[in-house]
Amino acid sequence: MWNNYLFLIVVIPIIATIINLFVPKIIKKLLTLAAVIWTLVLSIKVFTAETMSFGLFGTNIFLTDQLSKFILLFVNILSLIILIYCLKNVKSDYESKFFLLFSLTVSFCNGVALSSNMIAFIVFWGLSGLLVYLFGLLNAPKSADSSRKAFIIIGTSDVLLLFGLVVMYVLSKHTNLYLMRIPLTSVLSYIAFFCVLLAAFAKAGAIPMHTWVPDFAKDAPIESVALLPAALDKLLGIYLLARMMSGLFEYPFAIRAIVMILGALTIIVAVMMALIQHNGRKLLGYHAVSQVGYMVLGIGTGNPIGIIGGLFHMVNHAIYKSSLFLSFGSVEKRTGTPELEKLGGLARKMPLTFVAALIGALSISGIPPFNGFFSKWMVYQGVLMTASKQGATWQIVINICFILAIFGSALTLASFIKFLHATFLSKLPKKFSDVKEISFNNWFANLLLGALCVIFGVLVFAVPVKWFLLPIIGAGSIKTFLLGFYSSKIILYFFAASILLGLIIYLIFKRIRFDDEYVGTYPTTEQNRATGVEFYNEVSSMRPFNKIYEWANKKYFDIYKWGTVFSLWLGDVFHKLHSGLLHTYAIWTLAGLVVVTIILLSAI
Amino acid sequence: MLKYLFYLFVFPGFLFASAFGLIVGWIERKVSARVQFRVGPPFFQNFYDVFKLWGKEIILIRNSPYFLFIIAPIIAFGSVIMTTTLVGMSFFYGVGIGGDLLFIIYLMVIYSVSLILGASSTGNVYSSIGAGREMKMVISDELAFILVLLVPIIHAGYSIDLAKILAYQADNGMIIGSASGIIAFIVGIICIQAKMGLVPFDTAEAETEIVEGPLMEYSGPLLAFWKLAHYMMYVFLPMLLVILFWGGMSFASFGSIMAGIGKYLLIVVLMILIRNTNPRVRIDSAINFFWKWASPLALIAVILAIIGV
Repeated sequence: MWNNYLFLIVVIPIIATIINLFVPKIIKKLLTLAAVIWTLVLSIKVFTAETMSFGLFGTNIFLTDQLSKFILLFVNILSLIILIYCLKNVKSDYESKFFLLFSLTVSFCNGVALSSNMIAFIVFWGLSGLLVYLFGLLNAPKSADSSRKAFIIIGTSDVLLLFGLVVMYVLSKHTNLYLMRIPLTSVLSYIAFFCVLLAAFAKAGAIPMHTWVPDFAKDAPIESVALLPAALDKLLGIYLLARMMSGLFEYPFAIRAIVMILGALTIIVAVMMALIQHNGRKLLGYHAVSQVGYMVLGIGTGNPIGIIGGLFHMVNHAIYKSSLFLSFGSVEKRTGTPELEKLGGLARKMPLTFVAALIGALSISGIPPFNGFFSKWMVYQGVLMTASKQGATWQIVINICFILAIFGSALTLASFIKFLHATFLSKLPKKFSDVKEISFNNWFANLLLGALCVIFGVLVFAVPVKWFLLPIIGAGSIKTFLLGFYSSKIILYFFAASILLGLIIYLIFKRIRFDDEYVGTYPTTEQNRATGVEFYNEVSSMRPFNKIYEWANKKYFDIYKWGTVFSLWLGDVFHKLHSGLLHTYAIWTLAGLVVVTIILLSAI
Repeated sequence: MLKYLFYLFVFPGFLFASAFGLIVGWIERKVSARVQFRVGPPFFQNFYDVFKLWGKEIILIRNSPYFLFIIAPIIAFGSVIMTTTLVGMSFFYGVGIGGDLLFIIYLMVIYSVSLILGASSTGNVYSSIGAGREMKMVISDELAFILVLLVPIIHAGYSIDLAKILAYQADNGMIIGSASGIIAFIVGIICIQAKMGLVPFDTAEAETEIVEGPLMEYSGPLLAFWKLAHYMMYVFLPMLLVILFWGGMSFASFGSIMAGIGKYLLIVVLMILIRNTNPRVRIDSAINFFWKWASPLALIAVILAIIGV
């Protein structure tokens, strides 16, 4: 048992947590770091090895295949980088608790990635959901409401997943998730499918189960937001989705189309909400929802390039979104506010953080040659390829999904321009004139994520596609799946050569003078400063969006709100029944007796 | 490799595109002048302007992130050279190199992104307002533009390779000949008008209102980069429309060369005439126009294309 890598990957962080309960803070940090490095080393070993398994009581608990190895590796890479960020400058109120939860998170997420056994899967899945709540509570009482919301939505989805898995067991008599094949023929199988789908959507944060993500992002400790909703929860949710869409179930095209439509809607609705946010954390939170749409869309297409694109986007998103959250976290640590109106001009004060945020923003907007472009590019091709094989009606529907996806990317760019402008560019408010760059470990971790964005983009076919993605679909070359083409060699030479040309022209002709900026005759002051927050007021005041935004702000589209309304109503009904009057109870008892009698009689 | 450097720097890339762009710029100024009953500038005026700007000094803003301010026009310039090369290779030689249509769409965005980031880095309020407007122009015309591009993609059997779209048109007739093609082409001209930032969609730069907005703080060689990039967009955007809808051009005979140039010039003159006969629109009416009129029209074209009309 103690020489099985899979077992160790899950157990080492738990042991670290147990020891951490009794040691001082500094040792806690080192121990967590050691544990995470150890699991990373082990997961690299697992990744490079053939299939491994771990059994207990005669059944397989953990089993690896290409997909789970891939998820496992990135769970550990991202955990380590985010842990490096957390080594210093975590708020001291909750620092020691934070490290306890951190190693537990790594353990449980590894557990989800490795479990082939249904029961183990639901246990780790539920525990990793619970950790979202516990992380959220660290910032209580400010975050009490939003963590409760996250807990209830994720908890509900866990119940749905449990129910779905039980139905699946009844249908297939298997407990091994890797071997199950369930054709969607009966009503029961459809119920199981949608239960599991909703669970995956809740974890990843896709419509209609997305509403916990922005609220959680707004209130919880920023490091935990970067760790869970931005990175690991995406990996796990999309992992489940990929499993169920390519293997667990066999389903007709209409189901595929529904998943794709939900993906496209997720992209556009969430990005429209992000466009009008004034709070930087909430803006990023809505993007953490919106980007899930691309993954869902890509995996929904069902063809190799779409699936590769969806999984690639999942990894890319985890990288750049955690980078964006961390860089905004650094800004917040130094300035003390997440409100975009109050920030501005920090690029000169925090240049390294700015570079990381800029790379993240360009990646998420899909600007080539950063990584986000390539995953979106593959998803688009997958969508077009699916459309090309369908009749006219489905073609129209899928083409609309395609348009929404590309347009969503333009809106993503728009809202990140606003984010960058309001935080790092424009004019520096006087009160931030002595802000300093964040500590070494923070910007180092941040730039590490930025470097990953660049590497995964520049060397797209040589590194991520070849090492991680092609093995999953068991193919040797990506060329056969592509609809279009991209020659990274030519493009990179072109980029380098043309920018070099520009630089040479600039260096030949440059003569520089420094001056202030003027409006009219006078240097500008803080009064005439455009923060950038108001950039998209035209959109939010335009018909019909003004009404939709108004409804959204009243939470009409929030499943949590309707859930609350429904449960309060239900409570009210039961409350009325418990009136305390004897004859009401007597009537109910009598009615119950009648029902029981009828059932018993009909049984005879 | 040398062959590709020739494409990039000489033809159809930097040297050709900048010279040709400046000449088209002269045509624009001359036609505009004639429309307004003026004489207009001499033939080499745009060349003089650029050379003059190269000789001027650059004014940087104290206490601003001026690295971004300097690098933004250089990157925009580089990206426009690249786009011109990729589009020009398809236009002149009928081959696609480097990347497909989806890549080119995203490559084109780099110009706007650099413009916005460069402008925002200055901290000047007019630059910021201009940057915001530029971004709003991008999101308003992008939707219609994607729909427009989807029409030839669907006609060519879901191919996103420019060479294959051209090959399809060589076999089956030009896409502009179909009902969906002509609608998409018309919307396409309006979209590239907005992408170029020409009147009526020059809201982002609006000289009389926000003093050239994003370009306000730029001077000297850096401003020359923006001007050159702008004129090069005059080269590749109409070319892209000709490739997608109008069968490109070939060097087969003198007649076909003239036909290719004729198609290109027709679109350019059409753009100049639209420019000279319309007032500038407010930014909210531009968004309204593109989202509520141009895009649904283009969507109809897409649906027609799917049906096969």
